[in-house]
Amino acid sequence: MHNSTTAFDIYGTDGQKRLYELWIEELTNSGTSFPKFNANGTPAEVTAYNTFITKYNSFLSDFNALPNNPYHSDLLNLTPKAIVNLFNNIPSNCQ
Amino acid sequence: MKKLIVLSLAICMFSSCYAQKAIQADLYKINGKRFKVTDYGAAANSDKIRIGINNPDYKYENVPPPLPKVEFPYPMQKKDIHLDNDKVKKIIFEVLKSKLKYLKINSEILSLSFSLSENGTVLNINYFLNQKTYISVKDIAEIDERIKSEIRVNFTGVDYLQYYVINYSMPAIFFGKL
Repeated sequence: MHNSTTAFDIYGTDGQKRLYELWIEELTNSGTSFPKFNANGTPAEVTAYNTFITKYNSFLSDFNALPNNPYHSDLLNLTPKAIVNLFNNIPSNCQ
Repeated sequence: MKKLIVLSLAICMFSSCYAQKAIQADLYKINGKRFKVTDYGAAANSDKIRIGINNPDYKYENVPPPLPKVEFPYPMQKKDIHLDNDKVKKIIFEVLKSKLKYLKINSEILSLSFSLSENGTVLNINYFLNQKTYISVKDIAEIDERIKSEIRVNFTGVDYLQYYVINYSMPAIFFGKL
């Protein structure tokens, strides 16, 4: 886990970068572990999954709205299955 | 009785020196420099409130940095950013020398993210820590000043030449694991 904030580093303000950094910090326990998600698990797991998807799409929307961002996409409200599968299938410890 | 009162007062005074305090979201001015504390609340998986401390006068606080020199820049890779984490930690431990024991007991975590110029100077640092902490804003101000004056960063490769501002997140410091 490189704790990279590339998504907002280049085209965002420092304030936008901080919000994204904090989210990555929360997801990874300050860069020490990958999160695990289960969309069909216990109520707490479903809530955690839904919170992740909501925040993911919120940041995606912010990223797409960054001025002069050549990497923006018109695709919104994605379900990031690839990254969830990646999180769920690699060792939790990322240090 | 008099000795007991004096002893109690001494204990109170000593313990208050290193009391764990909640840093309130506000604007602080220390040695002529401003630091803004933002309360981000607790993460879903934690009961600890995280705060951010930043310099509100950083020139790219509210506007993005200049656009890269090419339209589709390659993302910077950490292997090409040579910031001496150990030297940064040494500065932090020196500033917090008298509090390290308490930070360890409290399992505190301090995260730093840097904005660097292409010539290797530190332009800006953002700090994340628990709201209830033994670290004060004054400590952060001292750390900030020392890092900016003592740390210089080298880059390898050519990717860094695409940018005017290069960002780097240092691995968090876990005081509980020291």
